[in-house]
Amino acid sequence: MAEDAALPFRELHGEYVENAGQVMNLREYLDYFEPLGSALSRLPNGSGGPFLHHFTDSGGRTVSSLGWVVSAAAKRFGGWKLWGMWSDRTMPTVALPLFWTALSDPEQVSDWVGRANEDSARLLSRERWPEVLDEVKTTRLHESAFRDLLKAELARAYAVVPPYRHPIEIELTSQTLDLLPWLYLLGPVDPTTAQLQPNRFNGPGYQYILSDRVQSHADVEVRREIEEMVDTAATDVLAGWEMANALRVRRGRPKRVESPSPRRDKRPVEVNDMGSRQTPKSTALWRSKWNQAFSLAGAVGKPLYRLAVLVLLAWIAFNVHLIRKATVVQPPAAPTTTTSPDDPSPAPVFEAEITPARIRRIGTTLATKPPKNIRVSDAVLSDIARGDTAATGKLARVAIEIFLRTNGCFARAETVDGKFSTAEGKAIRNCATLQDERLMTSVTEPDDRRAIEWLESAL
Amino acid sequence: MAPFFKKKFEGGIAKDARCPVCGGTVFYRVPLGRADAWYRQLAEKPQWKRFRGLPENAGVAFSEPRLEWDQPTFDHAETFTDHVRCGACASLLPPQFLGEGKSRVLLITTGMPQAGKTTWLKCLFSPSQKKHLIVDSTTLIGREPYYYIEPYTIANPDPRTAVPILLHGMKLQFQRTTIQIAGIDIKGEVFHQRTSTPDKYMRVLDILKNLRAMTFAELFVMFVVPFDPTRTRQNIGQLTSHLTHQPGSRGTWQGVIWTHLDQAQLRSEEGLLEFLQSSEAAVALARKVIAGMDDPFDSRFVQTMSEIEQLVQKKHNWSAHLDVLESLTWLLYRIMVAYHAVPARLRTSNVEFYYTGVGAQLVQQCMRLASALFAAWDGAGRGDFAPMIRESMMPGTELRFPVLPCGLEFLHDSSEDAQGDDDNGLPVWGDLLLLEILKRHG
Repeated sequence: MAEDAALPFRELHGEYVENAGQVMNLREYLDYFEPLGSALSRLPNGSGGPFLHHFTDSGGRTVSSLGWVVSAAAKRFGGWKLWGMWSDRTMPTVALPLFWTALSDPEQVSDWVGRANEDSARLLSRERWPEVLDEVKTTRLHESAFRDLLKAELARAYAVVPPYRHPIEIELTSQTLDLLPWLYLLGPVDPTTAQLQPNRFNGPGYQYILSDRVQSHADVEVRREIEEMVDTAATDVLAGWEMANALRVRRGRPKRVESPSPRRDKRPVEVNDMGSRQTPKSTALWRSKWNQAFSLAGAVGKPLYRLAVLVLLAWIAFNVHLIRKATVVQPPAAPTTTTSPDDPSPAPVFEAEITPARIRRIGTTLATKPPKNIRVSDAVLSDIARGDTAATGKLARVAIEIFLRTNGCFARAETVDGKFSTAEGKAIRNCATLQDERLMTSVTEPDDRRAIEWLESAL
Repeated sequence: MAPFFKKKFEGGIAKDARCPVCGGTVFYRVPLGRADAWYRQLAEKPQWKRFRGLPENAGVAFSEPRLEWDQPTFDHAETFTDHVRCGACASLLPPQFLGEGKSRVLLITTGMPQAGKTTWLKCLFSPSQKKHLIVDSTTLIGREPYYYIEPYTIANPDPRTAVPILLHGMKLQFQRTTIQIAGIDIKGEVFHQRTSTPDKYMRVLDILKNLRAMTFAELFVMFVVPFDPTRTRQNIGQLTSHLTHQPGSRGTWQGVIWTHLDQAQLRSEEGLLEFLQSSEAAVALARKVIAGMDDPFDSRFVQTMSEIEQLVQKKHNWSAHLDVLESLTWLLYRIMVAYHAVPARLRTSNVEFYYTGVGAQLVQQCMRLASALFAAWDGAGRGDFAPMIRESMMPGTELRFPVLPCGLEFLHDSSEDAQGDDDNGLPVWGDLLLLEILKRHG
């Protein structure tokens, strides 16, 4: 076992020992690892999958680990066995795909941990990851069915709205576990921060749930950019990874209300720290240089472009001001509302008064035909049915809760109860769509009228 | 509304209620939510882990991947709920910990991993879900367990967790007697890992101190020790001897739940009969049991058991005759199993039979033999419980069950609904502890 403290990567082993409980060689950190196998409890002995796990202990030391964990149900219900490597620095993103084929075999741990140490100069230098990615095996990506499956899973993952404070759930069979390194590399969560575990955790990453059922992908709409990314990765992992980086960067940016120029499909990849003074020895390094050049052009062009837009806006504002000054005041016309079929989110019409009868009517509709897969508690429905003064506020909060769930800002499975939990409060603060719709007057107070209007139209 | 309240009797919370985990005296009510929500909120409640000796960034193990069951959350409830948290450490407190001291007993169970502690508790909470009852749990005792054993539930008290202590509660009713049992289950690994995680160990000791400072009608400290013919398994007595010698501990009810007796085997038939040869009645009883008779009881049974107990107590150097000792343990367990048929033959319900007349005498003699055998095993090993057992068995002591013998017999069922459940079984005579609790407060 490689226990030399000078080595960046060391072996990790743990298992359930009869009458002693769960033990592992990184014993002072057992508490951090103990949950790893809990979700495998009900699976047969030996079934499991990979983990990419990191934590910061009470002393501020970061420990990262990569390996394989399986159920040890034969020894004890809930017991687990794991093997892999750990490091007291961040696990390199490329490690999971690079060692993937050897990860599930406990006999090979010493071998691949040894290789990781020998190759640590490349693994620990982001600038040299392109070289490493060229060595990643892509055998399964050459299967068309596997690629389709990956595209569908990526589409599902990308449908989850950032920020990623909780893991994205992926349901897999043991035969489709090979999707995981690709999902990790190409998925929406930045691999440098993502964790991969079979159990629930707090933080960005992926939680895979092993089952016997093959998920249907018939209803998944795969976007063109995901299709291209997967197909590219099959022949050139680095290019696929760069496309994923670009896609993640685009998604991470705040939405613009209007786009003055058509969006480019291919953006320069953020590879600022990947430059090298050495003579490029492979195509990967050439590509890196190109990307650097693109990045530099982008860095100069962006401020110029923003400056031009500002000047244009100032000029428009000045002209509008002149026009308003010159305009004769007209009697106010009756308000009219027009909707355009091109407008994806028409603003609701705020016309009708909020009367108790209307509240009750919406409440009845909510009780009889709630939005799909959303459960509204009976208590709040009966409060709304009373139609008193408090009912308006409750219905507005219900509307916000439903809005959060239907727009992917909060888990649908959580019951709607007319109260904002702490988690919902956070979702309210973070839900960009909710802010766009202006359904809240403050972080805690809904705009009753707009919220109820929205709910009525949604029902 | 203000959810905090202090020093005011309200909604089942006594004036002097204390949190057993941190000693806190301020509480607030919480609503139910999804376990997933609980898990997320836990990240913002570092004190919950800190008071359990867990690192703040450590996760809490859950066995179900999607965390879809209900759990009391950390939110402050806007209306009255049955779920109360401590304002200081945010622990969920079963109502039994918050009630009046006079009407409740505290039950501490602790044991090493795989001693059978959690299985025993599960069977006490919901015996109706268990199959293959060797002695039917009585329906005359009403049990109303508090459903949540944070971070789990009674339906899923997952033993594989880094959380070192679990709080549980149960309301027990028998005829006109009602007793609240506030229980704390201490994970055995805490003691095993104390050199590597001293903080967790110290936290548990703090909790025990808090418990002793609380008011209660009775304190039961149960050490769960598995039957181990090899004497190689580390048991809780080897790690917690200081617990049995705490100031004031003699005044509390201390005992051993001796589990896994079903694993004892008849190692030496000749050796057993030879050991018993000085008592004809004992030899006859042993022969009946070896022959597989369902009902070995006769009018001489009590006297016979008393003679066997004396023989066991007289003999020294048991470590040289472990095959005989295991055969005697096997004999005891077979008699306990055979007891199952007696109440039906005498047309009486179990609970009455345990309590009254000949049934009470049968049970008491079995318990005395169990104590003698446990002491013999203990003496043949390291003698960790020897002083406790000696004291308990001294003439005039009022303790009936210094050793509660149990068989955690996992009789596998072939029926569909039993597939995958390895917990089918019953702590044989486990209900006797409940009866003892009721009896002391009857």
